[in-house]
Amino acid sequence: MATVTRDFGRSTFWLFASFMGDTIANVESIMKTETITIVDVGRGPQLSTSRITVQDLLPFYRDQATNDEIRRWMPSLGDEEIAVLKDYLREHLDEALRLEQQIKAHHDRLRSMQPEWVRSSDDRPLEERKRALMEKLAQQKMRTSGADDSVR
Amino acid sequence: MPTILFDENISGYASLLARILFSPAWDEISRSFDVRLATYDDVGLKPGTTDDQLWEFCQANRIYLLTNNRNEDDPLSLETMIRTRSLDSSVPVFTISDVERLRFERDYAENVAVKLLEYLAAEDNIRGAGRLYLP
Repeated sequence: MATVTRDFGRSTFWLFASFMGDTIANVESIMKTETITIVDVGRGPQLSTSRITVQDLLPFYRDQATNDEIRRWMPSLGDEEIAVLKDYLREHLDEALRLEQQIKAHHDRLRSMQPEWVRSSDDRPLEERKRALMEKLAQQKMRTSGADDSVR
Repeated sequence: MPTILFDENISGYASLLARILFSPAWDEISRSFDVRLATYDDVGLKPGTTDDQLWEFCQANRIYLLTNNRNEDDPLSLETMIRTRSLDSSVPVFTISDVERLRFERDYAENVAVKLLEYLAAEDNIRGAGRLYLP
C-alpha cells in the first residue's frame, strides 16, 4: 500500500529539542506525524486525510497534469497526498478505469430517471432561460411587496 | 439566502462558477437570489467529514451541497442518506453531471450555472427532490 509520512512544525520543534535532548525529539516526531494512506469507507479508494478519492485524481493522472494544475481544482491537496494517489493509480489503473465507467453508468441512470420538469429547460437557448428567470424574479418581488402591503 | 457548499474534492471549481454567476450576464439574477458560494473552510467543516455528517450539517443549516459523480456503496454514503433520510422538506443535493467538461468547456460551465439558478428560482418546489443534476 502506498504511504507517505508528513512532518508538522519540525523546525519550531528543534529549537525546543536543543534544550531537552534527543529522547524528547523522538517522542515529538512520533506524536506530530500523520501517515497518509489510501482507505475505502464506501466511496471507493480515497485519501485517509480527506474526502478526495482516487477517482477524483484519475482525469488529472490521465492528462499528466502537474501538481499545481491539480491544486487549482483541489486546493487542499499537498504534494505528499498527490504522490500517494498517483502511486495508487500506477498500481491499480485498470481497476480505477473500470470503476470510473461504473460510476458514470450509475449516475447516467439516476439522471435519466429524474422527472421531466427537471430537464424541461435544458434545450432552450440561454437568452430564453434568462428571460424566464427575470420574469420569475419579478413575480417573486411582486409577491413580496404584496405581502408587505398586506402587513401594513 | 441560498448557500451552495462545494464538496471538498471540487472546491477549486467555486471560483470558476463564481466568475459565471457574477459575470455581467448573470450578476443581476444571482444577486437578486442572494446566491452564496462556500467551501469547507467558509462553513467550518473539517477535511474528511463523512457523508452522513455532511448530510446532517447541510440539512441543519439549510445549505445546498454541490458534489460531482461519486461511487457510493456504503450504508453511510450520501446516496444512502438521500434514499433513507430525505423528507419532503429536505434540501436537495446538487450533482455536477460531468465535472471534467466543467474544466474545459465554457458553454457547459455556463449551463451548470444557469441550471443552478433555475433550481434556486424554484426553491419551494425542489425540497425533498433528493439529488438534482447540473445540468
